[in-house]
Amino acid sequence: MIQFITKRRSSAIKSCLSIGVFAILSLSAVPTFASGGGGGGGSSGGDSAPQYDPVKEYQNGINHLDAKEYKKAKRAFSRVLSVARKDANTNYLMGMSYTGMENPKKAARYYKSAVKYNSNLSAAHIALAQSYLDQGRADKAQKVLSDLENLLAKCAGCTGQAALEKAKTGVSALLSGSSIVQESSYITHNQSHIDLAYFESVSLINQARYDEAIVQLGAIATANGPHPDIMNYLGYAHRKLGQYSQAEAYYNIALAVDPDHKGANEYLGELYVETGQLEKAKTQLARLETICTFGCVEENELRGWIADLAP
Amino acid sequence: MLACTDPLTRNNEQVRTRPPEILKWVRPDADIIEVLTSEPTECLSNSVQGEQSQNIILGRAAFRSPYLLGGQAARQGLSCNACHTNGRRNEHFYIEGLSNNPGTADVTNFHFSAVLGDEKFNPKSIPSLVKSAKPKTAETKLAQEKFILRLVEKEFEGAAPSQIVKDALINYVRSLGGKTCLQTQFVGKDVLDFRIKIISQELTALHTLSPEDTQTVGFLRLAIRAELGRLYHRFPVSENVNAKLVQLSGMLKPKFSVDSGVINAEWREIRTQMVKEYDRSLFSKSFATKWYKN
Repeated sequence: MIQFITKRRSSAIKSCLSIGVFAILSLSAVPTFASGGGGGGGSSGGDSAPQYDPVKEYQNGINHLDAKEYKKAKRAFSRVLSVARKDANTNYLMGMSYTGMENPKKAARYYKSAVKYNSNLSAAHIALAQSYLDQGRADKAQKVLSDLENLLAKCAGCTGQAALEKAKTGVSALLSGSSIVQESSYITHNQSHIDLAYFESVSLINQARYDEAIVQLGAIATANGPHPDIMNYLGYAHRKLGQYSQAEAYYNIALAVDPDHKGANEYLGELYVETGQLEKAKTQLARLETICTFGCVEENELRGWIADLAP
Repeated sequence: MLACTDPLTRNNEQVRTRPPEILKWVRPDADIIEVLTSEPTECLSNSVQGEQSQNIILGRAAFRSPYLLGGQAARQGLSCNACHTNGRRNEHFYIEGLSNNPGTADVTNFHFSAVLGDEKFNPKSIPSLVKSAKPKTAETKLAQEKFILRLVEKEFEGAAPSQIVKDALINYVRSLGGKTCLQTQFVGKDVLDFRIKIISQELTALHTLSPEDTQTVGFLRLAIRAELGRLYHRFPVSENVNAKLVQLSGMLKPKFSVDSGVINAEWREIRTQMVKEYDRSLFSKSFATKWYKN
């Protein structure tokens, strides 16, 4: 676990970037879930893959951040965002790139997106408040705190309560002018460890321990970027908790990264069935019929879900 | 691997493809050429050798089909055959988190089953079914049947199979082994020939099933399509073979009604083409070596 100090100066944040990033860097590049570990519902290898490999670009961005090559980092993260615009981690790291370039205004824009897409990303709340303070906008920094308080008021016992409380403590400290010690969520692991963590996350899901799975998958996503297998299971775990809008958002990121991802196409279809959007579910089934040239379990399962609804 | 990081995408003359499914269940340091180009022989007892009954063929289809299982196992394309290749032991089988050595699996892992999962990492050596497949008494037969169904339904979260599929599966498992069976390997073209034989027999069995038995027909169609898919990934540069495999799979889609004569003619053409293209397939040791080591 890495600790670093955030002070009320962007230069202080800059000096911290490399420390936080170093921890991520020790993770090796693309996880091998689909090939070796959990599988995750399968990627198709179809021809509709996006121009960039977001997971690889995410790692490139981290490498550049670590080397304090902020413009290059920004370029890499913008490529990730061109595919997965709503990935909270990438928005956060894009904000860090702009912070490194001493552009708190643009940094704030991305931090804001990061907390919008994942309100549990405590570091992004703190960085957002910091970037407002760097712009001399104490009022906006104060609003970050009040937004957090509102979120916490709605979240008694929710999945992200601990993260929100951590963010609140951090932002409060910033506003009171004191230095804060922020624990990074980036944990150093080797590739095999990441595969294992993913494997365990899926096991947690099988035991209906969705809150724990979300925390674990979130940590893997922070380290690796928007891998569609991870996004898919984040969607699944949220869906099982009845958090349909978050679930749909994660499925959509998975499908933005890999439009032919069988698991995400199936589970999005199941979400539509659960939320009474039968026509959309049928569209997902049609998509799977196209993707699964030789049939697939995902197509078969979704067909069953839709048939169960038929009068 | 992901579409966007597909290591096999190389140049224009090669068809974009994924690695054959079997490579998902091996350790990264496995000898993938050996994994691809050899496998243990199927060893059926004397009583069913030669002209195999439709029931045994359906049982084999179930044994090789991920659709028999459910949950994570099915989504990963696993089947009974993934661990017990042709009824024997897959000595290469390895999944991170499930295996500690090649040829082992922790079958009481929450990854596959919420019912039978435990908190322990206790992988066991995968057994060959050839030696243990022949219960003699009514009691041991019942125990074996219960054991198989427990694996399918509890361990791998499959839906209860229909009575026909269940009986066929159990008969197939019981037919494995026999005194005259020698522990030999299919190598290279033998592996391809065996796959061709399986599909040929399954198509014949499909045509003999009653159309009213939609459940079994649907199940067998899915199994055949999965088998065709496994062949597809073995011919990464043979566009003609692949196009025909896709076409045949399309004919076997649910609710598609295609004359059996048309299907058989299509299959005969594919078989001929695949045999011709063997040297450019991942059943061929020289091609596989070139493909993966270049």
